Amino acid sequence: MNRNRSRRLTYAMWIAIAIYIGIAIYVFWHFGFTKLPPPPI
Amino acid sequence: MTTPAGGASSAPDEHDSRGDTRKIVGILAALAIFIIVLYGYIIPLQGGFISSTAIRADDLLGADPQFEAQMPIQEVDLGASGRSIFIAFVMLTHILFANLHLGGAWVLLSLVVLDLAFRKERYARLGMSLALFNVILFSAGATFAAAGVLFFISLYPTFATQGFHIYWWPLLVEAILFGIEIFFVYTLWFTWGRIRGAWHVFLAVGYALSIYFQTLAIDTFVSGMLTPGEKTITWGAPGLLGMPWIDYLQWWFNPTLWPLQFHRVAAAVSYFGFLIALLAMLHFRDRTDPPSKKYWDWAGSFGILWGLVGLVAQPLLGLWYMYSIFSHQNQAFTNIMTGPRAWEMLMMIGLLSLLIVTVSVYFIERRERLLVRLGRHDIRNLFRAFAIVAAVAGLVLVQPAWLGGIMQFDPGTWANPLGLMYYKHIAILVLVAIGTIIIGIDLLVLREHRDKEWGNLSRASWMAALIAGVLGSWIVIIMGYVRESARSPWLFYNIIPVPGGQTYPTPVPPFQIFVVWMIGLGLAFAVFWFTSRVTSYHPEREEEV
Repeated sequence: MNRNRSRRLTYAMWIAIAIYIGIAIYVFWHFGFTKLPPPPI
Repeated sequence: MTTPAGGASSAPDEHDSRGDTRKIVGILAALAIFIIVLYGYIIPLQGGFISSTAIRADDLLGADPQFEAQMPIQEVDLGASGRSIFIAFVMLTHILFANLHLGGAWVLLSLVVLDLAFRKERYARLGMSLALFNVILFSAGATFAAAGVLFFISLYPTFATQGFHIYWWPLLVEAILFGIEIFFVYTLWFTWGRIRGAWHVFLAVGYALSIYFQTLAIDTFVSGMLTPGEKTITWGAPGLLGMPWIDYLQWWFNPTLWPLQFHRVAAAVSYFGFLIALLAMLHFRDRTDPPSKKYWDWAGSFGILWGLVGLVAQPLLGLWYMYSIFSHQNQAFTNIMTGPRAWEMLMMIGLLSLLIVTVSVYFIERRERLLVRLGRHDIRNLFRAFAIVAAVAGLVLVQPAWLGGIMQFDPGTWANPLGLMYYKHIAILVLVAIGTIIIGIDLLVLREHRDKEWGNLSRASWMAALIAGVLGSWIVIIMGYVRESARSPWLFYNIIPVPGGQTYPTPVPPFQIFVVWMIGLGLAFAVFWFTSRVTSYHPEREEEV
């Protein structure tokens, strides 16, 4: 694998990791904070 | 390329680095303290020793008499919860063997693809070892499954009659897939290096898909017990379909089927990854020749990364699963989140937190020399920060939401201000982010530099990988227990009760299930290690890198 291709793949994987963390935040917001029961006040 | 298991020859690889074993002592101490506080303080103060049979006694009075026990109850001489203990042992141990395939098939597929793409001996060697390991242990998993069915029929005949009738078609599919699955994995191992790459990938994909659909078939049953598709069981006329097709679809594709299925796959991948790490560490200690030391060090790291991949996927899928239970079986949700079984969730998330801490420690210790050599003090510090932040997140996650009552909102309970779910959601997100970034750093930043370091495994990182293997396996059977106890005292929720009423309380009490976990894990690890000794291919010469 040439260096440029390897570098592009590395960037792509970092972007994928960032997207995954973004999805995790969305899922926890969507289910955890808005749909599951709120804590008692 | 390979040697049979057993003999090793040359002198041991000189490597005197012990690493910081104080971190390992800290992990073990944290685990011990957590278990002691949980069992000695939290469980009693949350009503965890009171059976669901007693707590839901009024609900049981409304059970349809036709679904009560029709025959004398068969006891097994293990006390009042003996039947449940018996089934828990058989099925939880079965899970440890069955997950070798559900998770292992995807890891194996990755090795087939890596072997095809990079032609490195280590990929083929580990792939062949794992394939043979799974071929040999296939019969053990299938034996536990078949035994479980027999025990269900003997110990819970009314449930078995109704359940096996409703799920006849999915169970038939599952039975057929046993044959297809072993065909694929056996052929995969047997033909390694003998057929073209595309065909080999086909076999690996076939193995993964067959076990995926086999699990889906049994999950229609398992999920349907927690969230049945109908309010009662209504049979129709004799024929290929015992009830209307639409009713069957409701039962099979019930509301928790898909979240359970995907969560199981992620958990199995994680479990298998950490198990590879555990076995690799034992081989590392067992072998004395440098090529083997390097190879098993690499295999341990490969396993830890797969374990971490499965681990960071689970909280998202778990939240989806919990929301499905909340929406469709609210009482079961309250049992395990705001009721007497909440300690089980605390235990699961506590071990998950400790697992992330342990993996962080593994990477701190394992990559120490490499990071110093590369001058990457930023990554060193980041790994250290991850371990500390994960420990803090873990402390948040193990906070009980309340104490002093069976239900969180019972009058007179003490609400723990640190136990709010909002804080816990944030803490879990932090753990997911840490796990994901560790994967990224190790795979993307350090990948090209790691090869020179294999073999220099410090004692601390060796122990961290071992602990990760134990925790990763333990979590799997805790999750199985959580699902089963969530629906206690019902077998099919609100339809078929555990027969015998107050004389035979469920779920399995906390101390008894702890013993079941230990026996199941001990048995499985012993079988895995002795099998691995005869199914593992070791390098006979230094690999060119």
